[in-house]
Amino acid sequence: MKDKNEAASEVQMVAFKLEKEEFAVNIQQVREVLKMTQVTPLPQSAYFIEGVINLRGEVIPVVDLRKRFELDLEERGEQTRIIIVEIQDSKVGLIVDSVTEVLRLSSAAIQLPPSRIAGTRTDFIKGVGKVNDRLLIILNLDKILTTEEKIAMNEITLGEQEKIEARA
Amino acid sequence: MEEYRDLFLAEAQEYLQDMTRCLLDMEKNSNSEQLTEMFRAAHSLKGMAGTMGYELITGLTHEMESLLDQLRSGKAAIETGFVNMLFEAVDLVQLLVDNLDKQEDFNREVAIMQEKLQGWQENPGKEVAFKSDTLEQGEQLQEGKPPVRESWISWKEIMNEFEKEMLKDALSRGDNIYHVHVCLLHGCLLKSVRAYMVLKAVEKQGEVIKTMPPLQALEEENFDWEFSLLLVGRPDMEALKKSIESIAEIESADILPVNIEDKPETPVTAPLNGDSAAAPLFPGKVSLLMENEEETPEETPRALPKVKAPSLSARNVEKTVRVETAKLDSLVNLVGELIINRTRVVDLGKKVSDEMLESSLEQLERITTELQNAVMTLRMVPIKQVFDRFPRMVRDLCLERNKEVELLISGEDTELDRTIVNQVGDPLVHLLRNAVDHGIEEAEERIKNGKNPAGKIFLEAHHEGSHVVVSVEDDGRGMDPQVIKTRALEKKIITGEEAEKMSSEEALRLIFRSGFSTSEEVTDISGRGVGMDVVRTAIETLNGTVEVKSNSGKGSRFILRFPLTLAIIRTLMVQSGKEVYAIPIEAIRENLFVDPQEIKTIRQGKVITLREEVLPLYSLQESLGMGQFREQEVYPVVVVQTGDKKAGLIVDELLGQQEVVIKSLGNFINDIKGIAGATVLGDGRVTLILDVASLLDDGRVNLGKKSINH
Repeated sequence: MKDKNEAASEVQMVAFKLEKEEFAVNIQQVREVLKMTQVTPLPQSAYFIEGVINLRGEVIPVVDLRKRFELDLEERGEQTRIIIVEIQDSKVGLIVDSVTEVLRLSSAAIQLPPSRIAGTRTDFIKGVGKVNDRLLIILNLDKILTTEEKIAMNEITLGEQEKIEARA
Repeated sequence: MEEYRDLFLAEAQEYLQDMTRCLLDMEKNSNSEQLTEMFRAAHSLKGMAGTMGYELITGLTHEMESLLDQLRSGKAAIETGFVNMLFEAVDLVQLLVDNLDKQEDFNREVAIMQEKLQGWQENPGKEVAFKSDTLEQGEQLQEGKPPVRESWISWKEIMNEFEKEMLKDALSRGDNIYHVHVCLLHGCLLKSVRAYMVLKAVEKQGEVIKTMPPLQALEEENFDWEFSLLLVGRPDMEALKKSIESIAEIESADILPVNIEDKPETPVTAPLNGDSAAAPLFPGKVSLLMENEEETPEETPRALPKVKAPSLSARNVEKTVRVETAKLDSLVNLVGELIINRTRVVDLGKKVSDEMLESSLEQLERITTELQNAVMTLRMVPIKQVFDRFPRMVRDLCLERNKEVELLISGEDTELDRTIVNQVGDPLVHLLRNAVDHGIEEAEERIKNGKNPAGKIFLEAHHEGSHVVVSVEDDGRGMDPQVIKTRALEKKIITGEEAEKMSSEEALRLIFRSGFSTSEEVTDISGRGVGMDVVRTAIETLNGTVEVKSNSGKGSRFILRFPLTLAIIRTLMVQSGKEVYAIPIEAIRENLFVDPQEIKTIRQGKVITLREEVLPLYSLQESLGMGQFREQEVYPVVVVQTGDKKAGLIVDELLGQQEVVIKSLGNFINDIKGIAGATVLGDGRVTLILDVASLLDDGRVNLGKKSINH
């Protein structure tokens, strides 16, 4: 049984964009995707917490992934989305530049994260997915959202050299 | 089995409480009623534990039961030592129930306790013939199996009238009753099929009256690896056992004859005349006897048809339903949503101004309000749950302190929100302990002061509007405001100037200040004060208040006020910067409009003088770190207070009162200083609810406090 599975094993991913990079999270963690809505700011909370939103009566904290990865804050546009994910039994919203698609990745197309700076960055990345010529960084959300440690964008993206290696 | 475990826990808890209550009553004035009740509780607990296979609990409750039974027949006198021993036994059972997974750890304790209980039974010297010899008949009985009686009792409790009728018929035909216990191999697939095959095999030999778990559960595979059958007939037990065990994936099958008649363990009955194996006595007799005291123990075995419904049915089972609290919470949440949406719809309706719409909206409003009230009552539980443990606590405390105190409880049926009930326990324990420890004087001192040597503590609860009031009152030595002031001065909690101005009520309130009562000395002199600030804090987190009244020499009274529910609170909405915040009304003393000229600056902090009191002012926006304080022509100020801290919060605008449903921010967000939770307004916006206590705890506020003192 195992063998059959392995060949056909596919994971569904929700892909989204931040700046120029493409990321993905496992669809099993995603509850829904919302358009940007009114966020009530939460005073005295972690720097990347944008605030709370009302999701059909439920109060849900929202994290700005741009803030999380120390990117410049840009004007939010038509494409801005909130991805509601579930981590450790609670729902959290992620503000992203845009949600590109839902895609299937075969396990064979997912590589383990390159261990360039072993320790820090591999904690935050589950792997790198390859679709044609695109590289998707699969985030380890549990880790990213539950630590207050600062994470810079270049810690979670691939260097040019690695991109070439990954594509090969 | 897992699914029954919760049920067992819940019921065991009730029985244990029943037993404690009975023991307390018994100590005061023993009468047969309490004995019977306690006996019944021990008996039922034993039955349940037996079904669940908790042998230690079964064994222990069995000894308790025997002892109590002896007591009922007047063979042992009730004295404090005896009651204490039973208390110990109850505690041990409680311990076992609390540690179901680690019961073996208590093997030794249980053995000692059992010995103690047995010793007591034998001590009175009467001929005690409580060892039954049921085993004679059950050759198949393996060592370590619970005695047959247990299985019978548990069957009895789940049987309906019809099944009892069937049993009677079978008995009158001269059939025997057997308990067939089957264990499947762990990990066996198709459990229902195996169960079916067993049933078929058994039915060849007799009639299956009932199964445990019920037949449907067996079909749906809703059971672990074991099940039991109640069989009537005259099977060849050896052959039956073999035929069951020959079925694939059956680990073991045990067939135990159920002795409908069994030699009773009660010494009430004379030992039976040798034929106990052939015509054993009815084991349900114990409970039967309770209902029919005059019935003679020599009743013939055919007494069975007279079996009444088991004593269990005396409890009002059908009046209540056990529901998971999570389900209740979700219902309450949904109704909260409905109310919010109703507000929105009503707002929209006003814009349309249509008569028909208006009247139906009014109706909607009425119905939803009623629905909300009805749902809220679902969360309500009587405060009895908390009060019930106090008599025991006070009793033990009195023994320890060698004082005589009577605890008088009233209003224990007062209902309040489940979440609050769980949290009022600790502060009340504190207050009661203080009352016994420090409030009530030693007997000699009381006599000297012309008081009854036995002290009295009144614990009372009642409703007052949307609040519950609980008061703890003692007739002890009371507190002297003068002494408290002196102590507070020594501790530098207040200044001499403050002390002079202070009224006696204010002086009494000093005991709630943190730091007031850290040393033993103080408590001995003031007669109060162990962790009174803890009491205050606990009550304030419930949005409650605490008040103290005391008459030096005559006693003290603590009055606690809690809201009925924590789920919905009244708040004042304020605008601060771009945001709207909700401040719980409980924390608000008054609202002011302050002219900028009235504001003085002391050590960079803003203050105003309000009725000769210096009141520190903070910009809400600044306190929350949401922006800078802005100059305005006039400042709306909300004066808030928690405990002894008072401050004015400068806001941009007061928006009015509103009832809001409190929602948590989820476990992803840790506690945020100053924020108690959030709520969703009629327009769908999320508004934060302020936590005044933690907001005032902030460093900024302390700065202000210092400046007052200087």
